[in-house]
Amino acid sequence: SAVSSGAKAHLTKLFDGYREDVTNSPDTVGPEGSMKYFENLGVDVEGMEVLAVLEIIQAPTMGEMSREGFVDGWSSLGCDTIDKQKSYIKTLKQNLPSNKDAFTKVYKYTFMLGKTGNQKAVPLDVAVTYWELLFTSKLSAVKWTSPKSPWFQWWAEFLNSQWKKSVNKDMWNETLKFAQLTLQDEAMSFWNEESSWPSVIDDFVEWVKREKRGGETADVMEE
Amino acid sequence: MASTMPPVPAKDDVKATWAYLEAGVDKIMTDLRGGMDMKTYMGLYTAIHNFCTAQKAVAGTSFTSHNNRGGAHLLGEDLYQHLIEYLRTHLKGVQARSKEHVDEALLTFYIKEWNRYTTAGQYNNHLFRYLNRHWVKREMDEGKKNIYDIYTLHLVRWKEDMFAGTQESVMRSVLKLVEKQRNGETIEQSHIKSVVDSFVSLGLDEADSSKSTLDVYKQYFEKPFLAATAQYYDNESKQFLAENSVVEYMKKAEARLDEEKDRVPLYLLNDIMSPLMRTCEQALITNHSLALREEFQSLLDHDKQEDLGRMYKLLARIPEGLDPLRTRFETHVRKAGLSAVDKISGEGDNVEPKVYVDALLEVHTQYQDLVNRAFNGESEFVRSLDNACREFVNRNKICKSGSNKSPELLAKYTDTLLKKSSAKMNEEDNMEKLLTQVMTVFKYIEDKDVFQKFYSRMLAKRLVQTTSASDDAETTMISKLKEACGFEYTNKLQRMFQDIQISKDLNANYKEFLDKNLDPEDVKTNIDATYNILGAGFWPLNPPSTPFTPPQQIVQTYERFVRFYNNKHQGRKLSWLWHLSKGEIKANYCKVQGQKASPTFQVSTYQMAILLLFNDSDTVAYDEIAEATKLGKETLDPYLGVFMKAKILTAEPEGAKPESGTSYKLNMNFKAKKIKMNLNISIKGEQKQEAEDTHKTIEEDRKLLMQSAIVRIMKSRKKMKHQQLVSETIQQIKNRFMPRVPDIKKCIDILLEKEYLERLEGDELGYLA
Repeated sequence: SAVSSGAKAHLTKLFDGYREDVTNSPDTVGPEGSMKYFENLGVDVEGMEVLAVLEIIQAPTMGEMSREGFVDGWSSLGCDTIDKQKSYIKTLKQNLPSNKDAFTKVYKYTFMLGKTGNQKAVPLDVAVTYWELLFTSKLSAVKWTSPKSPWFQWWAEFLNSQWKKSVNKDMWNETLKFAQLTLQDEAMSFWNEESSWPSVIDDFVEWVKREKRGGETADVMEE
Repeated sequence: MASTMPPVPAKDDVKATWAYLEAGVDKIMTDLRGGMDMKTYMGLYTAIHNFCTAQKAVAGTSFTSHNNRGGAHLLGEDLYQHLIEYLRTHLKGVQARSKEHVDEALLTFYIKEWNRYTTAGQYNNHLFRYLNRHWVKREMDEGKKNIYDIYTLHLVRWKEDMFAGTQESVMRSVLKLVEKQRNGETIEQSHIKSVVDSFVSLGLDEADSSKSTLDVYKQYFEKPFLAATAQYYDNESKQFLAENSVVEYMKKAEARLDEEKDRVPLYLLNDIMSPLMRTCEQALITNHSLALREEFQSLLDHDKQEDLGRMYKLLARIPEGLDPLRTRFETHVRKAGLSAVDKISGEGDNVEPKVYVDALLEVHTQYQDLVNRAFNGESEFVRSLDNACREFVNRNKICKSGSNKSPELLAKYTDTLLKKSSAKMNEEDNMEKLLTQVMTVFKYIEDKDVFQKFYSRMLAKRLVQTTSASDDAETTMISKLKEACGFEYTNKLQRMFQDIQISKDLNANYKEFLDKNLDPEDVKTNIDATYNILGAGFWPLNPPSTPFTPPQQIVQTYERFVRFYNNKHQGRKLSWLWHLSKGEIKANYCKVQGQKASPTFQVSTYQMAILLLFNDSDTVAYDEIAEATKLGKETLDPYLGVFMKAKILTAEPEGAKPESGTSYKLNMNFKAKKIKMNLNISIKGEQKQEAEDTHKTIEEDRKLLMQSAIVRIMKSRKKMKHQQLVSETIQQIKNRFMPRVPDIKKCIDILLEKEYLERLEGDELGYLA
């Protein structure tokens, strides 16, 4: 429509302003431009909110924005100015902690951000960094910790000491499912050997029972 | 006689007619032995006929009031009623006299009276046949109750006027007699048989008097008989068990059951067989099954086949009697197998394959024998045996160090059987027996893929090194494996076998070719050689682990062959497995002890390359050898060691290590003991390395096998629940090995990552083409 084409023109212009190498990469904003953009938006680049913004503009990787993603993403939300975007982000930040669907969207997109090039997996240290952001942030809808179980700390400890491999998409997505179930059922009675979890989750469950709960079992949690 | 009978009465006079008849009937009943002439008999018959056909009966009788039909009357009710009265009176007397007798005397009396009464009944039936044919028939046709033909009427009267009042005392006497017989006394069996027959005769079918039922017999004979039997054996078995062992008791019970079975045809109705047996089984077996089962373990422990057989036969007679035995048997065999393995595993990990296999077989043979002899080869016991064997074959002390130990040891044992051995050649039928035994253990092996791997490696060795004892035995074994596991399992084994066969022909062709085409000059330099062409995909052989420059002396010979072969099969690439090649060289520089001949060394091609260097110089430096042969240190050094040990070479300086600076000198004083000397000894550590490699490739192969099974299943199903996929995968693979669920899950992980599969909602997986 006319409105959206007008909005698109605004956004295109806004995007152009952040470009670094106009001749060689006319449709890309690099790390410097991205930083400037986030500064203008007032987004904390160390926080989870940046992941939400990157999801909106479908950034191909951390520190890079594409024209297409930027224009399509914001125009579909009707935010063609910095101010409109700021206020959208403000609302989003208020919603995220209670909106599981919005959070899941951000979570799943984060895997794309962690990948480099055509690789199918994310290096473990990168994955753990993102997990920390996603599972411990104030904005998170899935704060992965229970009164007696610091889940995320355990998860990171287990991955670094036992797993030591990169993280594929299936493992990434299943981790969120698993995290949500542990928050509902700290004793992990939803888990059994036959269920369809990736092996890494099976190993984690065994490890938690062995290392963190003194060798079993469910009744420890029921006290 | 006839003169005592009054004249035939007027035909319509009931009183006179009955009076006339009663005298006759009474004679038949009480004095039949006295005889009855034809005239009297005819007189009686005529009186009945006349009465029944009389126009009308004389008034004033008590019976005829309602029997006043028009037309051709058939009268008879009066006579019928009079006969009933007569029988009642007669039987009252009989019953009264029966009270004077007890026990056997009562039986004698009862049977005598019964016989007399039924015989009379038959006579009377005949005598009254006019009544039967007309009046009785019509009454019955009209559906009148309680009207019977005259013989049946006799039985009905007996049942009510005699049997009802005496049957209890009669049965008491019968049971006393049977008890006497059970106690070992001799009795008059025919009495009981007659009682049975008489009780059976009384079973009248109310609906159809021409038929009989067993109702009376069942209620008044069978029921008390069975109750008494149960009581008797309850008492006896309890008392016997209190004073005797279970083993003795089983003999007793067996004898009793046989005895009861034999009793039936003697004097009982065949009909009682089944309920009688059930009753005896309840009292003799079921009630004591706990005690019997308690004894089972001890009988097993002491291998009491005969007693076990007896226990089997007894408990097989009762429902679910054997189930607890099967469970115990299975546990027992498993323990026996485990402890047999424990015994031989004492000397550490290095168990002789033969010792191990023999231990497994011994346990299997012992208990298979027991199943066949004591348990009648019953299929459920066979299954228990199989379960137990599978357990101890796959999970025992020796398997603990590596779960794949059983198939490895079995394959090694098979190898020793099939290998040429100078010590003892297995005769053909003995070989068949031994291979059958191998298959017995093989059947229980879960990791059949491991066996396959080891077996194919060892077969390859036997074929390449021509150490196989017999082609026939090899083929037999392969076909046994094929029969057990299918074509795919033995495909490569068969191809290996074929390659050797084809190579033989090829060598023959090549020889012909050489004979035709070789120049006399070439003949001199040509070396007699044979070649095996092995298809790369079928043989479990690794390429050489060391670089190698073949000795100049053989180059021309094998290159000539390569030209010949390439000419025949264009485009095929030959690569040489030098590490498996061997040859013979003659040591012309020395002699066999006490002979003029020079010895021949059997060597590997690597060894040949080393020794041939000494043709040019008696002393060769280590570096020179290494340079000329290009052999890696890890191969060269052990081979030099072999020559040193055999005293063919000596090191300079003495005792020097195989390294740069050391020289080797040909021992010119070498004294060979034999004309042929085998120096081609496999290097230490090679074998162990090989076993480790084999296990490693097994793990890899399994992953591939599981992944391809998963892909195959998903390809046909497209979508599937996770758990279902896992169990189907197990199903498909378990005849090769027992996959672990976590391993299958790891394979699913890999396939998800490779994007052959995707995760769908609700625990489902999808296939991505």
